[in-house]
Amino acid sequence: MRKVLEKLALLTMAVIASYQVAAGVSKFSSWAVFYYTLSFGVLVVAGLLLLIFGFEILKNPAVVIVATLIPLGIFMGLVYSFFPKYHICCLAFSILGILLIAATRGTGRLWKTLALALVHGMAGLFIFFLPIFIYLKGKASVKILWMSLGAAIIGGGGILLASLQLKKPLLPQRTVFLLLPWVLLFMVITLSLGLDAL
Amino acid sequence: MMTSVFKERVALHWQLIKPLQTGLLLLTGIAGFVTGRCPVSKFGLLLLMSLSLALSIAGSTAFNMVIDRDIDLSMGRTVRRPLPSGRLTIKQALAFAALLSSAGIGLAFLLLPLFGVLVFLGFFFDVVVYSLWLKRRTPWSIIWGGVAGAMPIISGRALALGRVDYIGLLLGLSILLWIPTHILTFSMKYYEDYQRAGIPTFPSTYGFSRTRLVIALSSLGAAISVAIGILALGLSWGYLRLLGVLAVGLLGLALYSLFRPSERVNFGLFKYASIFMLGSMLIIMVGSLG
Repeated sequence: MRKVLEKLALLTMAVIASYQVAAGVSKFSSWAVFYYTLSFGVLVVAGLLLLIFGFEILKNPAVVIVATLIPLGIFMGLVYSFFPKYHICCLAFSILGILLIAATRGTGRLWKTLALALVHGMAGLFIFFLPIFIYLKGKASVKILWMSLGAAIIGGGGILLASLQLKKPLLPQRTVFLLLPWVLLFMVITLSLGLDAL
Repeated sequence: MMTSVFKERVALHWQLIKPLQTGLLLLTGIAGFVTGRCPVSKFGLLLLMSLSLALSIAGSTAFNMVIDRDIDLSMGRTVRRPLPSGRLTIKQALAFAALLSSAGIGLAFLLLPLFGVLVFLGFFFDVVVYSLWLKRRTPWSIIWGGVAGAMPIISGRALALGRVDYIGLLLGLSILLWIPTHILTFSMKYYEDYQRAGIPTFPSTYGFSRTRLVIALSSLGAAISVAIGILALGLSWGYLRLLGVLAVGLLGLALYSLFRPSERVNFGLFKYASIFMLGSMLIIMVGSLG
């Protein structure tokens, strides 16, 4: 029964993310559409791959690199929509961040941790604080704060997964895998509600 | 007692028609019809078309079960099917297959002669050309299996429009190109079984590496032809974006399987390819209705 519910959560997550790719992000301008599609697209494919392969797939080193696109895409979408003059420097940060994470895959644990913490952490903090800032500036309705909640969820999930990958688990692996489908589902729901406010 | 015997009979006949495969092919036919942009005004026709396609696809699948019964007997995966296990006789299966096929094709001709011809061609390519003639002779038989698989979507659209057009053929091409991904990943997983049964497959004839390359290329071809189909149908960019996302997953897995081959990735690709086709058909249907 638990497995069925987990699969249902992952499937629902993939369907909501699919909706966002097909229709939800269409109202934005070209680059923002691209960035949001990147984030939600990774979530669509991640949901399907988790359904097919199970959580074993998380052991693949490519997962960490591809998963970086989720927070970075949302971050870049927000920057392009509300702070276009910072677009290029944020894009440079994102590209360098991905390259840094990819380059440190073959190095020791310390460098991997530092690269992950820097890129994921920075992107996560931006997604958390930018919606609050945008709301306080009166540029979007209060619903945009759902996105901050989504950032908190993605941050929490990311930290749990990173702790597993770095073999210093904050929670037992079984518990993390038990929580993961629901973390992903609520993250997609909150991010979608936040995007709807824009 | 009577009820349990009846239930068992139904279950055995149900297995003869491979419900998942039949369902997926039926969905392609419905997608083809819906792209004609008339599902609401011709709802009754849609129902009759679905019935006709379901019967004829199920019928040809049941015929294939009869033709392949000796192959099924030599494979661990299929040995418990109704015919090799002796739970149904050849006569019973043939009668069932003939009944379904004739009802499905007959209904198709009643709905529209062109639709009837296309449904019959699908049946002919699947049962006669693919299963009876080529399957035991050449690994290239899958092309003809692919042509048969493309017929439901072509015929569905032809019924809606009253003619065969290039979009229908394009959508058919996407199925034709998707089928190698579907079949070849399967024939790699059950390589030993096919060897034992003496069926020539791509892996046994050309090796695993080349087969994986063909899978990657056919995945790419299928994704491109669905994308062109979506553009030709004039669906919004959002649907193309979603298809692009699903295609990236498919190609990524195909390439991963090419460079880091394993049985687990191979079978994952088989499953993902099915989801890709299901997703593509849903995209086409939702987009056409929107």
